[in-house]
Amino acid sequence: MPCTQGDQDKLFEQAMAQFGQALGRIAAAYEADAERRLDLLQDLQIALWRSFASYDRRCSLKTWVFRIAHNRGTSYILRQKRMALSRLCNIEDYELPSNQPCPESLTDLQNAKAAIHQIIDALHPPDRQIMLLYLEDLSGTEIAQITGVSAGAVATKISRFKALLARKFAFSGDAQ
Amino acid sequence: MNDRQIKTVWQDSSSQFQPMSLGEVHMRAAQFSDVVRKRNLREYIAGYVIVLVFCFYIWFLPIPILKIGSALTAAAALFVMWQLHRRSSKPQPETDAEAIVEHYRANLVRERDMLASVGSWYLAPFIPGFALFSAGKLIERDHITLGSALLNIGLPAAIFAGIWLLNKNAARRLQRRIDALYLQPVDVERALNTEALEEKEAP
Repeated sequence: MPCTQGDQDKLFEQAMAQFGQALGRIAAAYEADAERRLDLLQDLQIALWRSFASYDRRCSLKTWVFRIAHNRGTSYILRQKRMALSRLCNIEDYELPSNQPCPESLTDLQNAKAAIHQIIDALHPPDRQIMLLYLEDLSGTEIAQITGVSAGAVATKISRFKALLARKFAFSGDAQ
Repeated sequence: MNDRQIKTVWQDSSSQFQPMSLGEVHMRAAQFSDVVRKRNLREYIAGYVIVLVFCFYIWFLPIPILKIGSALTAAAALFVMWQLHRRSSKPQPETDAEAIVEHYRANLVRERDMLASVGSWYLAPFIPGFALFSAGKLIERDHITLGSALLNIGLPAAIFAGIWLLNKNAARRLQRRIDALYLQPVDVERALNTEALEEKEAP
């Protein structure tokens, strides 16, 4: 049953309260430039509000919000960074730059964030989205539901991501 | 160190997120269709400028072959504008809420189809007009040399062929990316390695 504008407004406010900060991090993972990131963030919010007109509650609010945000992010990459698309890779093919000292310490937060962004920025949209959802602490099942990738493939890709981080940091990669 | 800590590092990132007010969201959502309308208007204005310039040539240029070439070019511009209108006015399905990989695939397929069909709806209509126009410019000369023939016919033909080939190659690369979305990880690696090798070998 379609939502009224009042329902759209309520759902939007609920989504912003629960997932607003995550939306900010998602936008940062798609656009490094601060000014363009602000435009992307506004685009995400408008897309989200518009999307609630057809929200039928067959999936959770979390699944809906992350799908809308990442699908908008994908469209943004394809539109803005078409030329850079051929330089992106899958997580299986990503190699850490060999000239960086390794392992580093997670206590240096700026260093840790920069290293995570470096890996994320090099990935094709589907793998980038799986890693971002993992970093937002979603379960393997939730990630599979949002992305449409099998839970097994999600687990394999996250495992590869953890292995890269383990090489970069003194990181054990314990179970979630 | 464990993955809890790496997630904490990520989630502690200050995103400096300030949600928009509902009033602002309502206003921007209403403006969205205006942005699309203005973008289409810019494309139509550019198209009409080409049509006007070549209509002026029909009246101004001295020999019939140049007049016919100009008329065909103006007609081609009108045809391409109609195609742009037809393609951009197709209602886009509400796809933002579909699974991420399906959405990515749909985007790639749309892009591939657009690139693969550029030759038929964007380049081909201009070929008859440009061919006659170029031939007319050659006929206008007292002496036709190899250099002038290459400049007037060879160069435009090479540009047309180059644009067509670049778009075809880009469409093929997208097709490989689309195929790789549904393969197992080991096959994906093989498909992408093939793509990387072909990119290296390309001139």
